[in-house]
Amino acid sequence: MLFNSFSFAVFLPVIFTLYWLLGKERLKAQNILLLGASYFFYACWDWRFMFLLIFSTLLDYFTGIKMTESKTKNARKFWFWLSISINLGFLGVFKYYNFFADSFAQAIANFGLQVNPWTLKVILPVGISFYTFHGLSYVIDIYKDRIKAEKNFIDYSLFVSFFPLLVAGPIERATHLLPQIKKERSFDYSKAIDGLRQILWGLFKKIVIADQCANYANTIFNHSADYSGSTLLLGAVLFAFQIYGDFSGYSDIALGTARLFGVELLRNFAFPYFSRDIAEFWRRWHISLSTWFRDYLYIPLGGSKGGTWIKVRNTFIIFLVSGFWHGANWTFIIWGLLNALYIMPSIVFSTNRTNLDTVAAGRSAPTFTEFAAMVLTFGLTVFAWIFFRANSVGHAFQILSTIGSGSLFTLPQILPVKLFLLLILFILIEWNGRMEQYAIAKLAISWPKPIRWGIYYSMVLLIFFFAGAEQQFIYFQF
Amino acid sequence: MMKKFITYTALFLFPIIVLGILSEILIRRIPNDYEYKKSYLDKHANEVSTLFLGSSHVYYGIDPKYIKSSFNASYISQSFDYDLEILKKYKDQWSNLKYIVLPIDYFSFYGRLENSPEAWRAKNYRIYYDIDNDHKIFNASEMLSNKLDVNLQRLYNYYLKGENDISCTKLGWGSGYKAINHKDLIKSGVIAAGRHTAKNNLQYGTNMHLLDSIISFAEQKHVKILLFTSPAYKSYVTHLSQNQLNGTFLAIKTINARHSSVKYYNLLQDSSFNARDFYDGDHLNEFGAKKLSLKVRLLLGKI
Repeated sequence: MLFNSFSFAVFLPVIFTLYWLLGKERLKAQNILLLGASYFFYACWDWRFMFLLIFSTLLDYFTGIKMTESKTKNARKFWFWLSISINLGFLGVFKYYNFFADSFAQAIANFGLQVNPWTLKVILPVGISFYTFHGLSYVIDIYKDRIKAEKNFIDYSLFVSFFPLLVAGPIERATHLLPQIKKERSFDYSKAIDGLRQILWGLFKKIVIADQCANYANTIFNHSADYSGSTLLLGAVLFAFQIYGDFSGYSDIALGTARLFGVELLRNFAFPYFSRDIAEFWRRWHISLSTWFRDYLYIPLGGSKGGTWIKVRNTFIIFLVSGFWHGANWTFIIWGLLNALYIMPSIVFSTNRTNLDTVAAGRSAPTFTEFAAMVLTFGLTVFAWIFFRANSVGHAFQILSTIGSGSLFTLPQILPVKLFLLLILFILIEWNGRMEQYAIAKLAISWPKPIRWGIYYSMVLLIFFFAGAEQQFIYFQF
Repeated sequence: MMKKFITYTALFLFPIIVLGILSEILIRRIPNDYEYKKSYLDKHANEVSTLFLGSSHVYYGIDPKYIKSSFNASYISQSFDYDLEILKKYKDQWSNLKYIVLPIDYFSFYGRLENSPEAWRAKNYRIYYDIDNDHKIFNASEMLSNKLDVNLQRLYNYYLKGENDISCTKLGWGSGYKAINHKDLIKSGVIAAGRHTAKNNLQYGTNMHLLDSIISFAEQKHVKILLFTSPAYKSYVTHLSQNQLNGTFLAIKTINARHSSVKYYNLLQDSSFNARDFYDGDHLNEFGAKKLSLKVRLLLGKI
């Protein structure tokens, strides 16, 4: 069931109504309803993978309790590593096994030996990277004594499977979400309206921006050999908007949906394309994953303590793992390494926390320096996105060599004028709302209702105007 | 608070829903090919002696005016499952039916409407034929299954310009592919071959079973079946995957072995069709359609 589908438009109001009809006094019933709805939501993708989700939930639930109950350090360690190895084992088998088998065969072939790797014909279970990371953070937090194991199985299962975040995040933490699940939730009018507004903005980003950019970006990337350098560069820029609109749109819908049920999820995007350097970009892009890697990988590895070499090593490791997290393909690994290279000067010279505030805060326009920094950061990001989007490393280099040729200075073969106008409108709205949680959080909020509603109706109209066949969200494949 | 939320949400959604319902009603009133074919069969199924089913190759390729008491019930991307449902829908009315003509093309066993880029057409069968093969909720609505701009264009064309969506003749032939408007035969043939080459053969077994069901249905009614592979331009033929083509011929061989009442003719590279007969790499124009219709009439006379 996609967020941008008719089924979800029916599913959400039904669950919302039932949920609030139960009333805040019946918290347990509300949680059971949400859990049932979440499993139904997941089963709509592929009911067979429900068992994997339930198994993963049971594993972390029981190992969590066992760790808390363990009287010796060794027993505690045993349950911890059991959970970690099984969780990563599943992720490895479903997501990475074929990659390693094929890469091994190719490496062997370089020495003149032929092996036919035994590859698995498996479909990647939707959301496995997300719910595995949920479970891992929970188990690690217990092991590190940051939290106690959750005894209530329903509450824990809901933490793992809450449908707004189940298939593509945000990657939640037990410390943030579990207390909300255990607390009585009362209906809040302004929060619910805010939730609807964020859902509307998410749908706009997905259907009007991402899907329209995808039409062109897919054509250009899929037929890259037929296009000039300028067209390929345009394709890369459109992909940058596609992936942002797609993933941040998904996150907005997830956050808005959760808010309708009185739950606040972690923020996932904070206007990353207005970043002035790469370090700022990574504080604003897929925040729940970046902070996950920071807390559960970078800091345990030593973080910024221990000198420049340790910082450089740790930075490379987290970007390498981040690239690999996105998929079993060298293109993602190179994408991760490129970002590590981009961020390296600021790590070495300790300037990675220069831009902690929002650009041009309190002003309507950026200074020339800020603007130039944003353009440069965006350019570097677009360059890295080419690897992320390309079918293979060779494909990425073919695109880059064409972009580097003289045809870069010709007029693009594709000029989507209407899309350019839409993107300008989109950038202006995002710029105007960059101080808020999402771009239209305060848009025209003080204006008379007819004007405000007029803006919302225009967005609805554009969504229906551009809505076609339901398009998958890119991050479902991760 | 909840009351206020529901009231405002309902107030906000009310004009959208009203406009949506109104547009739905108005769009459904626009005459279209599916509705026309259904109403023709509702009235005349018992008079039809030769029925053409299948995809665009037959829709544009066979003009029933050359074959007595025949009707072309094929349509663009119409796969075996829809052919079977059309047959079943009028099962009590095929009192005069003697022949069913069905194309077995390169893609016939490797895809179905619901998996193709033309999947949006499934709503037409649901809304106008009352045939629901893919059970998707939005296929019950014109507004939900099509882009708003497409629907607005249709409303504008019909209600303001007086143009309807009917593109077939009274006997169901798609007359829109005129020679004068022909496409680049080389380019379109290559593109169509690529589009028709399947990534896998997941649909193969299901389609075999569906074709078997169509034939069994016909046999029960003592109706003969003529299967044929439609003529295509060389640019299309030379870009077909040999594996997929072999799979298609193997399926035909299996079907022929199982059902002696079925006759098959391979016209894929029939030399009587030349560049002047094609609208694009894999569709005939009006001249090609006449040629194919007369050829099929001749073949029907032989079975």
